[in-house]
Amino acid sequence: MDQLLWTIFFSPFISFVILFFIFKPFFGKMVRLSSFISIFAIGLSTLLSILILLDLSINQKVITFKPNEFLSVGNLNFGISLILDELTVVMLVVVTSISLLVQIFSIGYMSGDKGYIRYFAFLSLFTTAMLGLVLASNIIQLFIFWELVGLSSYLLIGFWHHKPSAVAAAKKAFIITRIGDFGLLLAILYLFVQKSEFASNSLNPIMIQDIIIAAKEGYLSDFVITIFALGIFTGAIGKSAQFPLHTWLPDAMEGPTPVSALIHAATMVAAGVFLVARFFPVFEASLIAMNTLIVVGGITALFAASIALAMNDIKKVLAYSTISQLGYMMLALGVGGLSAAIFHLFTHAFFKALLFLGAGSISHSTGTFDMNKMGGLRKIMPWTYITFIIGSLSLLGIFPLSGFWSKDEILSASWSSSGIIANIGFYLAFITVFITSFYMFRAIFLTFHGEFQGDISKGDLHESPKVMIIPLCILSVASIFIGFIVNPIISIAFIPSHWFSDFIGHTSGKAHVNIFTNWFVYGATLISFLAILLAYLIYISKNSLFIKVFDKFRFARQILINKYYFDYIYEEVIVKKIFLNGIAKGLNWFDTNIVDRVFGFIGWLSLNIGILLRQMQNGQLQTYGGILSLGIILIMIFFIFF
Amino acid sequence: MNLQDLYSISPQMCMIALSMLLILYDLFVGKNSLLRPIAFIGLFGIFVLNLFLWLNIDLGKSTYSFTNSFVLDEFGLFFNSFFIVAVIFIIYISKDYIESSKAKSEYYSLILFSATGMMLLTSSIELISFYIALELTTLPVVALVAFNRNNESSESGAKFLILSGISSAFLLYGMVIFFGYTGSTLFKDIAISISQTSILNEKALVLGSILLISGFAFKISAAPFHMWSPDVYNGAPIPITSYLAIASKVAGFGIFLRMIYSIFHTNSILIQNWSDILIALSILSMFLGNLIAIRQVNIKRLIAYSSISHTGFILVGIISLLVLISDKGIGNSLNSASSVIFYILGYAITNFTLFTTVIIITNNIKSNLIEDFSGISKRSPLLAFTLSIVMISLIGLPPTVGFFSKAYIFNAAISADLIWLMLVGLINTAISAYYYLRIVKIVYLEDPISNLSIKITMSQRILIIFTLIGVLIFGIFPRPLIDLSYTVVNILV
Repeated sequence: MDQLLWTIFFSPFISFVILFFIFKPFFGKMVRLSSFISIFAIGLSTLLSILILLDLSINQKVITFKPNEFLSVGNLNFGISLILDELTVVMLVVVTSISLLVQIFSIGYMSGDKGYIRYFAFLSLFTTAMLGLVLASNIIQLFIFWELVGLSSYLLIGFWHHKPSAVAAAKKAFIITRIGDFGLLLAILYLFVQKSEFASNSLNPIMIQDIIIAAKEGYLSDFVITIFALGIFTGAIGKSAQFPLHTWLPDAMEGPTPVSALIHAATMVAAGVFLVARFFPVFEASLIAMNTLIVVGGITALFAASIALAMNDIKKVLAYSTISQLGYMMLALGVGGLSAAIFHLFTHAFFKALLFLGAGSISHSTGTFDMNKMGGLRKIMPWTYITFIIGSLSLLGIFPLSGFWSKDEILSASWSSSGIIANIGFYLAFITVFITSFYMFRAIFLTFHGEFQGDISKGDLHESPKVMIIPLCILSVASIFIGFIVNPIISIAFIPSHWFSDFIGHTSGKAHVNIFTNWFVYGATLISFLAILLAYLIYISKNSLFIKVFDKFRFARQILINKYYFDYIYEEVIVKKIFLNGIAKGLNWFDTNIVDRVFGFIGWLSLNIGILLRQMQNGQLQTYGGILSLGIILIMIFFIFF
Repeated sequence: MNLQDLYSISPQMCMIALSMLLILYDLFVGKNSLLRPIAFIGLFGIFVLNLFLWLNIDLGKSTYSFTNSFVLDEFGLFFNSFFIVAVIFIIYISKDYIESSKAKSEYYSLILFSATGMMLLTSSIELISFYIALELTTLPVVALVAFNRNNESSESGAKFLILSGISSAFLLYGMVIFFGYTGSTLFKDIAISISQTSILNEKALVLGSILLISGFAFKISAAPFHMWSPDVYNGAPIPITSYLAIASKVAGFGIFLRMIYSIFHTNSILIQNWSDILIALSILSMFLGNLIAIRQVNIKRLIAYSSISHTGFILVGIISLLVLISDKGIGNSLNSASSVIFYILGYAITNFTLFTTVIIITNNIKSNLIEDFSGISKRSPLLAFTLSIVMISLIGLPPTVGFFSKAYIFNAAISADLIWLMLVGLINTAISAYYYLRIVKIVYLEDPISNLSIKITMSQRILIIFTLIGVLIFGIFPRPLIDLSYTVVNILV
């Protein structure tokens, strides 16, 4: 089993090494072969991940493998080892299978691009990092791969580095997620400070298993747990683009669209949710941390969905939708619904990847992402249209698509949870359902219905090639069925009822809820249809009454188009006014007048010593021989006579 | 002399035979184009032979030959393979240089002779054969340093000849003192004798030790016995510079380990004195090497000073193993000894990469000045990237092999309670970052002096990528090298 897991991890890594260090410098012409190598490697990982999932579902147990010693300094030991539990294996399947489909889609999407090999090399690197992250058994390893995920995301967002906007977006993503990572790093360092508490219970503060045991058994004080949990959550906020560090994700859409599907919809942004889920017992031990999850998650869900209403770029709509859905997952974690959150992560990965790839397919044909320049595409691109509709309905949570099952698990979890904050969370999530339905169908109507508005002639429009359509179809099938299949309400064939919830949730107390007994199941579907109807009246039949009312909300639209002025506040107020003119100016004075003078003196001193010493190196043989002999004589005098 | 004796030094014999063959071939056949393939095939064969010996010796057991003058053990075999690989590398990178020079077969055979000397040196356990091996190591290098036969090169050769003569004189005098007091030239007899000496003789033995150490310090160019190295490195053809910086220096450290473990560990007062002397040399080398390197404008001289400071770092490892021997007994010094071997390996891998890049660059821009390296990143991204990784490895930052080299040396210092020495090492690491990173800055941030891209042939490209992967892969998975270092020193302890 150990070897199997290492194979899953190393297979994309080796593909990265081969592509980047052998193909890119030596065989720059063999583009097709390079993409096949990459796809073969990830295909192998996918197959093995599924095998492990099947194996683990039969005999449920957590396995941590013996660490391979990596570095030991003094009495501190770092080992590299892997962990295999339910959470890991679900993430393995999500990461590898989405990566596989995205890479297949990319053959078509990226064909003819100059950086074709580099692109596939970076995709492999990203998959490696993501697999390393979900398999990590200690927090050092976890942090290393966490950063590597950030790095490969940076490389892929800025993939078209000749575009200044892509470079800026890559930088923004890197810096903003770094703010969150700093919190994670502080949390890890804070644990090192507590190592005596761990040692007295013969635990190791860097092993994740040991941290969880310590949290469960109450070896740590509430204060320590809360600080640690909040630090972890800060990291998750950055990576999962939660409020208020969400601003990087919409900009990250500058990268190639398959990258957006893989990284900024399905996997990397889910890493934050994964991180919280990994340390879930720690969060459970602290009420403050749980409530923070609910508040941040709920606000993010509603707030990001509302911005999506006003976006004209289809990828930005999807980006804000992703942020909003990640908010749902955080909310679910906050109310104790671990299995609901991971279930939603699982289904969301498929339907959101589908939507992004659909957007990619659209722009492959129209050459733009601006929805005002589209329209009427449903006749020209029937496959894209149908799959896009399926993805949207799944996202809306329409019965019986995948999204329905996971979204209602989240609603049920928050409904059945007690406490005023959990109740507020429920209503935030419920309102978001309405907004989600509205913005998704607004996008569909603008893109696929009506008349074509674009600059290019209509004859140039075409359906995408098969290599792009097939992944869309596979993802559509998954978006329809996978939610019901993995977590059915009654047992079908060999799958027991509520398999997924039991699989993930058997360690924590909260289990499945019976879905059809609660009013909000019907309520959510009802408001979804109301929202679709509203979108229809405004964008298709252009009903004058509704448009008139709609126009009254222009001021609100202005706020939304400016994304609640968050970019303005960050860039103009925080960065320029407070940081640049305030703190940085002060530090600069200190630096130039005090630090520089001190170090200038040290530099001056060492330079002059260097000059002095260099005088001896005058090229004269006599001097050299003299110094050599003098050295020996000095040593002799010192050691023999003293 | 019997067959068993010949068997135990067969790699060295084959090296001699190969260099003879090359000279004779040139003399009688004279087909220059075949010299290089013959040298490669021969060296590869010797490498395989050496590997075969390594696989066939009984682990943990030494075989003595030539009436206890030479020993066949893992330590010697490790160094044999190291020198063979180094010679292969140096012949590989000398391609352009040899093609432009007149005497081709001499170049090969001189390197092979010198390498044979090194291989004998690390296997010899008797003073006279030791001394002869040492001279066999040095004298061919004198000819190689002066190989260009222009003023600069000849001057360097003469300097090297005279200064190494002086140091050999000191070394011989030290050996004579030991012979005089113990009545034997065999290491193991000397070891037994010095373990029982009276206090009166101790001063004389300390004197002998000082003379020996200064002889070795000359070889590894530790300050204040370093004066020759910047001038000789600068005057010599650059492949020979790399030979001096890598093979010659490593041979010096090989002798150190061999001498300490086969002779001096028996007398704790001598060990004490050794570590005191080496502490002085180490600190002096680190500071002097780094501080002077800051002002260098010539890449070859910079490498010379940088290698002096690396000598200082390796000496930290040797000092900590000496301290451990005298405090906790010989068995506990294994970690420190392996850290020395590990540092040597890391240093060699990094320097192989460094010299490959520098040779390609200097051949192209026809200049040894660092300022002429400006904007290499625009002319050849691969070279610029490699050079930067090498600099990071020389500073000792992850994810390169240099990081683990320094980490293990510092770890050894901590385990010997030499925290202050480790701090000196850390300060020097910080100083060295200045001039290493300055090169990265020049390469990446400054405008190129010309826009012509630098041509790299396929064989050079393969070598660069190969060595670069070495630097990086052992910076992430150092375990194989660590295991190797343990195996190598295990036999000594």
